[in-house]
Amino acid sequence: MLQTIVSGLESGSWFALLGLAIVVVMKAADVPNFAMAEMGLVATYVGISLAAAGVPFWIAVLATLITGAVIGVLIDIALMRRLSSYGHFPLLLMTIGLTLALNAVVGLIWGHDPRSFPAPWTGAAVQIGGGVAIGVSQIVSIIVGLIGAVAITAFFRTQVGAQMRAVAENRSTARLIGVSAGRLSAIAWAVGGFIAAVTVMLQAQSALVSTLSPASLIIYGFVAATMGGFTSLLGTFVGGLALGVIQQFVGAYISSAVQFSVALLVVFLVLILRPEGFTKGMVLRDV
Amino acid sequence: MSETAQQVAAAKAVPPGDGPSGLAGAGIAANTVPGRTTGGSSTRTGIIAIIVLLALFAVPFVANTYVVFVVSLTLVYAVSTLGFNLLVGWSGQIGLAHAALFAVGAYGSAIGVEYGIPFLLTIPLAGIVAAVLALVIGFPAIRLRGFFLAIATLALGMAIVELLTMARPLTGGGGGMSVNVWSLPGITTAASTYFVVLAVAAIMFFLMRRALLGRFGRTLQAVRDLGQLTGSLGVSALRYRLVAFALSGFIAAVAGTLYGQLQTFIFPAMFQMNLLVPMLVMVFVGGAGSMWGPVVGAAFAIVLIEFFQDLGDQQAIAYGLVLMLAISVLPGGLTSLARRVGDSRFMARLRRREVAE
Amino acid sequence: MTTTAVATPVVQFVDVQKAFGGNKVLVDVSLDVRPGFTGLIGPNGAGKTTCLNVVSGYLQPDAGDVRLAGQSVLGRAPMEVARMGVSRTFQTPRLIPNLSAVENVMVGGSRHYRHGHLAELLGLPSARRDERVQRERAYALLEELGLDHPDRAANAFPVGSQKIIEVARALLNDPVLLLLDEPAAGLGAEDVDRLVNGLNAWTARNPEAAVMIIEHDLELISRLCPTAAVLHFGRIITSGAPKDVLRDPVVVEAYLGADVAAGD
Ligand SMILES: Nc1ncnc2c1ncn2[C@@H]1O[C@H](COP(=O)(O)OP(=O)(O)OP(=O)(O)O)[C@@H](O)[C@H]1O
Ligand SMILES: [Mg+2]
Repeated sequence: MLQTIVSGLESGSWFALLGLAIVVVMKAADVPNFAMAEMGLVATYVGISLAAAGVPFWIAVLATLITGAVIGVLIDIALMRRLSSYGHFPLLLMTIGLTLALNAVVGLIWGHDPRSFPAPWTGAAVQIGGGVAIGVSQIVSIIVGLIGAVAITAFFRTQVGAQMRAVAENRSTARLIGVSAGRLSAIAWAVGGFIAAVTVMLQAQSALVSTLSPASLIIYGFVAATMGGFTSLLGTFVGGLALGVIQQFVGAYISSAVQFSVALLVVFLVLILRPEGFTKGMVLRDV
Repeated sequence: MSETAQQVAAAKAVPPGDGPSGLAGAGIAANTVPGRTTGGSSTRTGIIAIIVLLALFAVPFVANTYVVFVVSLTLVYAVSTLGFNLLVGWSGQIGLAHAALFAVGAYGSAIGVEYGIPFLLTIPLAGIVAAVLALVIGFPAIRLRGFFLAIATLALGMAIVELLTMARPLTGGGGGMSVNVWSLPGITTAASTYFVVLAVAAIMFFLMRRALLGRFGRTLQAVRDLGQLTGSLGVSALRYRLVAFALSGFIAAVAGTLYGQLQTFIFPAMFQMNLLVPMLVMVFVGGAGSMWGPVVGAAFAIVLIEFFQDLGDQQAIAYGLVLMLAISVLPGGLTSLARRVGDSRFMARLRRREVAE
Repeated sequence: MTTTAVATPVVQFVDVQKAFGGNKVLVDVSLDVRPGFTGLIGPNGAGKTTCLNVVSGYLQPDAGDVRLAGQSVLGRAPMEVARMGVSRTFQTPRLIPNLSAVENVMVGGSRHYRHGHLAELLGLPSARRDERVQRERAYALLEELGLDHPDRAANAFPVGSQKIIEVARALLNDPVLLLLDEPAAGLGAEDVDRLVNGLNAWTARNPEAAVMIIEHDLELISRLCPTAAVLHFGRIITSGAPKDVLRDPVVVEAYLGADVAAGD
C-alpha cells in the first residue's frame, strides 16, 4: 500500500515535471511540444555515455542538463520561430517530425536496448517499519520533482517570468510594451529542455529508459498539463502526481492493461468537469 | 490621432473569438485557391475530371495487382484526407481523432458484414455512426480552440481505439479481425475492390468540390477566419464547426470501410499515431484548405510510406527530416509551391522576359 | 434625401450603461436612430464602437435597454440580432483573406439564401439560381460603392478598400439597421465620394433603413447625415444637425484635447 503510493508519487513526479515543461513552452511560445520527452531522452543518453566513459557522476548530470537546454534553444531558433506566423498547424506537425527524428537518432547512435543512468544511490533503500523498504532513487525523484515545481513557480515570479505571463495573456499588447517575444521563447524552450532532461534522467536513475519509453511519458505529461488547463503550474504538478498514484493503484489492483485507458478517462473527465481550466486559458484571454 | 492607440482600442473593442481564431486561420488561409468558378474553367475542370476518371477506370485492365493495390490505397487516403482537410484546412479546427474515426469505419463495416449487412450498405452506415461520434468528439469545440482542441480530440480518439481493443467479442481485441472482402462477380477481388474505391472517391470528390466551392465552403472559411464575428453575418460559427466535425468524421469512416477491404485484416494498432501522423502529413503536403491537395498529399504519403516501408532508424530519421525540411521550406504545403510560382513575381519576371525577347 | 424627421426610430438606446471594470465607457446613453443617416462622432476612446457592440449583440449593457423596432435586443446573440436585420462593419476590417472581394461580400447574404446546403450539394436549380442572384447583387453593390477589381483576393486590397468590401458585405443582407464603424478611414478623397454616392443610392432604394455611421472624417458626416450625436467620455453631450453640433462650444472643447481638426 505505502509502497504503491510511493511508486505512484515517483512516476507522478516524472509526469508532473514533463507536464510543467510542456506548460512552460506552451505559455511562452504557444507550441504543444510533442517532442519534449525525446528531447529529455537525447540529453539523458548523452549523460549516460559520459558517465560510462568515466566522467564523474555530477559532471555527467550537469552535461545532461545543459544538453537539454541547448537542444531546446536550438529547436526554437532553427525550427519553430519562423513558423509561428503560419498558424498552429505547421508548428504542431514540426514537433511531430522532430519526435520521429530525435527518437530515430537515439536509436541509431545508442541502439534500442533499455538503459539506465546509475546514480551513486541507485539500488539503495531505506527501511521503514514493517519490512517496507523505499528506494532512495524514488525519494530522489519525489524531492527533485518538488524542487522543480517550486523553482518553476519562482521563475514565473521573476521579471522574465512575468513578461512570459504577459505574452501568454496578450501577445499584441506584450509587443507594444516592448517585450521581446523571441528572447522569451528561447528562454522558455531552454527551460523546457532543461526540465525534460531532469525528468528523463530521474526516470533513468530509478528505472530503465529506451527509445520506446518517451511515447508513454509524453502522453502522461500531456495528461498532467491538461489537468492544469495548460496554464496552472500547481494544477499541472498536482495533476501529474495524482495521475502517477492512480496509475500505480490501477496497475496493482486492477490490471496494467487498463492503465492507459484510465489516463484517457482522466483527460475526458477533466474536459467535462473542469472546463474553466480551459476557458480561463490563455487562448481565450487573447480577446 | 495616433494610429497605434486607435489600433489598441480597436483590438479591445473587437468582441470575443476574434483574435485567436483569426490568427490561427491566417496561416491556413494563405493556401486556399480563390474559388471563383467561371463558366469556361468549370467546363475545363469537367473535361479533365472525365479524362482522369477514364484513365483510372482503365488501371485494373492494364496494370498488375500490386499497382492496382497501390492506386486503391492512394484513393482511400485521398478520400480520408478530403475529410481531414475539410476539418483542419477549411474549418480551421485541429481535430486529431481522424485516425480513430477511420478505424470506426473499418471496424464498423467489417462487423456489419459479419452480422449480415451488405457491404455496400455498411459504407454509409459506418459513415453515419462516425459522424455522430465525431459530433460528440467535436463538442469540446464549443469552448476549446487551437491546440486545446487538438489535445482533447487526440485523447478522445485514443480512447476510441482503446475501446476497440477492449470490445474483444466484437472486434477480436488487440489481435484484430479479418474482413470479409466483397467482390463483384466475374472479376478479381482486387479489381472489384478497386472499382468500389474509385466510385466512392469520385462521388466524394465531386460532392466536396461542389460544396466547398459554393456557399458552404465560403461560410466555413468565414467561420475559420472571422470566428465569432460571423454572428453579425447571420451565420452560426458553432453550427458550422460542428457540421465540419460530423462531415469529416463521415468521410473518414467511409474511407475506413474501404481501407478494411484493402487490408483484409485489421487490428487496433493500425490506427494509432502511426496512422495519424501520415494523415497529418497528407493534409499538410496537400496544402491545408486546398481543393485538390488531398490527392497530392495522399500520393506523396504513399510514396513516402512505400519508400520508408520498414522503418529502420535511418528511414525514420529520413522520414522525420523530410517532414521537418518540408515544413521549414514550405510552411503552406507542397501545393502552395505551385501557387507561389503561379502568381508570384517569379511568374511576372518570366512574363517580362518574354516581352523583352 | 428621403428622411422624414417624424419617422419612428429604428433603434432606441435607453439609458444604456456599460463599464469595463472601473472604466465607465457608456454613461446613460439615450439616442433615437431614425431612418436615414445618423452620425456618431467623438474623440478616440469615447465609446462609439462600444455603442455598436451593444446593439449588435457582442456586449451586454450593464443597465438600460436597446430596442430595435420596439423589441429589446438584450440577451440576444449577435446572430439573432443579425437575423433581426442588423448588419455591421468592423473598425479593423475582417475579411476572408484569400477569397475574392465578391465572394467575401456574398458571405454577408445569409438572409437571402432560400435553399439549404443539401440543395446546394445536390446542385438543384433553385440553389444555383440563389447563388447566381447573390453573386450579381454582390458585383452590383461593389460597383456602386466604387470598388474596382472585384475578383481580386481580399488581402490584395489596401485597408481602405477592405472596409468598402465590408460595407458591401453588410449591405447584401438588406439590413433595416446598418452600423458602420469608420468606413472611410484610409480612403482617398475620390474613393470617399464614391462611397458617399453608393450609400446614398442604397438608402434611396431602402428609405425605411437606418444607417448609424461612426466617422472621424467630419466632413463626410456633414455631407451624409441630417443628424449627428457627439459622444464624449461615454456621454452624449449633444446632438442635432452636424453644422450646429460642430459649432457647439462643448464639442469644440471635447475635440480640442483630442487634436482632431474640424472638417472645413
Ligand atoms: N472589450 C473591452 N474590454 C475592456 N475595455 C474596453 C473594451 N472595449 C472597449 N474598451 C474601452 O472602452 C473605451 C471606449 O472604447 P471604444 O472602442 O468604444 O472607443 P471608440 O469611441 O470607438 O474609439 P476610437 O475612435 O478609437 O475607435 C476605451 O477606453 C476602450 O479601451
Ligand atoms: Mg472605435
